[in-house]
Parts: sequence; structure tokens; C-alpha cells
Amino acid sequence: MLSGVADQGGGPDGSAPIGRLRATLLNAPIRWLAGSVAAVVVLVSGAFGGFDKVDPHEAGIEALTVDEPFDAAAWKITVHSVRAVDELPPLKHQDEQGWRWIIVVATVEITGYAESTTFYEKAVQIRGVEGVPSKYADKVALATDAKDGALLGPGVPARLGFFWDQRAGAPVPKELQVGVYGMTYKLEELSGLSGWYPDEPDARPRAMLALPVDTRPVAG
Amino acid sequence: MTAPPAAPAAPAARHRRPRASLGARLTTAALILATLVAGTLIILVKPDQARLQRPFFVSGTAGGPVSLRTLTVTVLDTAGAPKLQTSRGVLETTGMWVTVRLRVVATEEPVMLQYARIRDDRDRLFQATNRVDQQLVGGRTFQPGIPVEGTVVFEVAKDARTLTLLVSHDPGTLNIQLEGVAEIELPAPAEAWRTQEKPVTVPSAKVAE
Repeated sequence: MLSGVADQGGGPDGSAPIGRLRATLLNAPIRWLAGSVAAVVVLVSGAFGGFDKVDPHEAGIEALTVDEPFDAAAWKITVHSVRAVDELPPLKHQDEQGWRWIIVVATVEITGYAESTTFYEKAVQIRGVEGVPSKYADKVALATDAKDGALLGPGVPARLGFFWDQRAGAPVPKELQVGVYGMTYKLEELSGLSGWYPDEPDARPRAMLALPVDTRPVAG
Repeated sequence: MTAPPAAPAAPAARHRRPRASLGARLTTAALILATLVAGTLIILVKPDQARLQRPFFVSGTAGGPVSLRTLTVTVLDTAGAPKLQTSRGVLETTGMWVTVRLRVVATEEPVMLQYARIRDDRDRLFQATNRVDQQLVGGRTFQPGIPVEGTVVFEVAKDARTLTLLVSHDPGTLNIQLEGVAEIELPAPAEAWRTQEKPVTVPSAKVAE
């Protein structure tokens, strides 16, 4: 070995700590090494914005426009507005007191070859609103006669209110992310039956829109 | 005395499979190919599940009885308009209300009319609406030999041109596989119905004479 060209650097005095580090690294369990690499990746990712809140529009989800129809597979959805009201007779909350309504007003039209359905109730969803326990709307009522869960036929558009119960103690959100989800009416080959099928379990929305929540009282 | 050193072992004779002739190999390939083609043809020709379990459609015309295994259905009258007069007021729709007056007679045993659809010229299916209480569909049990007249209400698309009524007793599984289904083309002047000002009405159901 040539002194001064040692792979551990320096002379006998200086080589000991680096040698120990090298030996430690070489003898370290693979999990320890993998954990270290992962930590470095997370730190670097964070430094370049990896922890920033993701804007859904940037994540490949289409943007909705208010009052413009969006084609989500077997139905067309037009989102009009979002409201928050305490009561809206004749609709009733799950308990008599302690709730308010968060309402998304939208027009739904089933398009193409299909059959009447109530599955459109899953077509509009909201996420991450404090005090709203339900993923899907608690009620979906026709604007014309407040019928909850009306069968909607293909080619018969209907203006609907999607109603979520929100705990009255939770703050009314200033803005709400509304997502539109798709479903398809098709023949299922295994059973030989036609039916409605969701995109996939826990599918992402086909389109999203952030809307201000209107808290003005509903004109009687 | 010591044993003489063992002689080095002779290399084991290598076992070789006799090489198949070119003709045999070609025959094998042809047989495999033929099996695959035959399998594909069988899959293509064999009726699928939807065809095997399809309902038995019994066609008829309005005014004449259509007999299924469990009941006989007769279309007595049809009407349509954008508005529907109910006991709770007038209901509007962006489509068109269609009412079908039926006479239903159970033939052998008590049955319910669970399946009622209107199919239009684009093969779209409209279920009997749940926006009003239905007289015949869902809740009523028909006793054998006692004819009942009543109305089924549908909410159909405004642009539907021809309408065909599909009715079945439905064994309760909410599908009509292997069931008899009455298929009756309705006299439907859809154009006139679309512009009809007067709401359609729903006369009471009654036991027929």
C-alpha cells in the first residue's frame, strides 16, 4: 500500500474515523439504509414543493364551469350554486336539531342509451367539509316538487338540490370543492344484465370546481 | 495390503431423446393451432349469458289481451302531456308524462306487477315514475280471476317518438331473466302530447266488471 494513497485517506491517525464510518455503512441493515435514502428523498421533495397543497386542477382533473354542462359518461351535470341554510321545509334533517344544510344545486341529465335510475345521487360529491359526516348527499330532491330520490329517466333533465347535513356547531365554509363523478350504463357480460357501474371504487372526480357558499336566506 | 487405486470413472453416457422429425413437429404445431381455432370458434358461436337468460317477449297491440304465464294484460288507453294532475296538485316535467290505462288479470295465483317500463325508439328505458303513487305497479297484489283496471304513469323524454310498453310480474329479483314480458306498442301521438296544454289525469283504479 502506498502511504498517502490509501483508500481511507491520510495516514494511520486520520484513517480510523472514516474507516469506522465505512465499516458501519457496509454492515448496516438494509432497512436502515433504505430508511435513510427515503428520508433524503422526502427532504429533497419537500424542499421543491412536495408538501404543498395539491390543486386538483393541476392533478389532471378537469375544471368545471358554473352553469355549463359537463359530460361525465352517462350523464351531463351542470353545477349552478352552493348554499348553506339552516332549514328548508319540507326537507328534514336526520335529527330535529343541531344540523344545517349544505346544498349543491345542479341539473342532471342522463344521456344516451340507459335506464331510469337514482344512481345520479352519487354524481355530485363534496369533500373535506368540517361537520359533514356523509360522503354522498343525505338527500337529493327535485327543485320542482322537493321529491327526494326521484327516478330520473334518460333525456329528462332535472334541476336538483344535493343536500348534506352539516353539524350546526361547525363553521360554514366560505368556499366548497364540488366534484362530479361518472357512471356507465352497460351490459355486464357475466350476469347478462344491463346496469349502472361506477368508474372504479374510490375513483377520482371527473371534474371539480371551487364555489363560494351563498349564506343568504332562501327567498320564500 | 493396500487396495489398488480405483480407476478414474468413465464419463456417464449422455441420454439423448431421439430428435423428432420435421413432419412430426409440423403435425404437432398444426394440431395445437387447430385446437386454438376451434376453441375460439366455439366461444364466438356459443350464446352468451344475456342470450341464454333473455326474457320471453310476448308481443301484442293496444286493445287486445296479451297473455303471460302468470297474468294477462290489456292496454285500454294512453294519454300524454307535459303536466300531470295529481291529488296534490299539478306536476311538471322537462320531459313528458305518459299514462297507460291497463286491465290486469292474474291467471293462476296471486301476483304483483313489479316490472313496468316504456322503451322508446332509441332503446331508452323509462321506469314507472316514483314521483306519484302508482296504482298497479309495486304494491298491489292481483288475485287470480279478478280483473283490475288502473293507470301506470311514466315520465319519458320529450324527444321520444315511438313508445313500447314492457310489463312483467317479476319474480322479485328485479330482473326479468327467463320471465315472460308483455311487449305492447302504444298508440303515441308524441308530437301532440308535447304541446298538450291540459294536464293528463289519473282516474282511480277499480275492479273491472
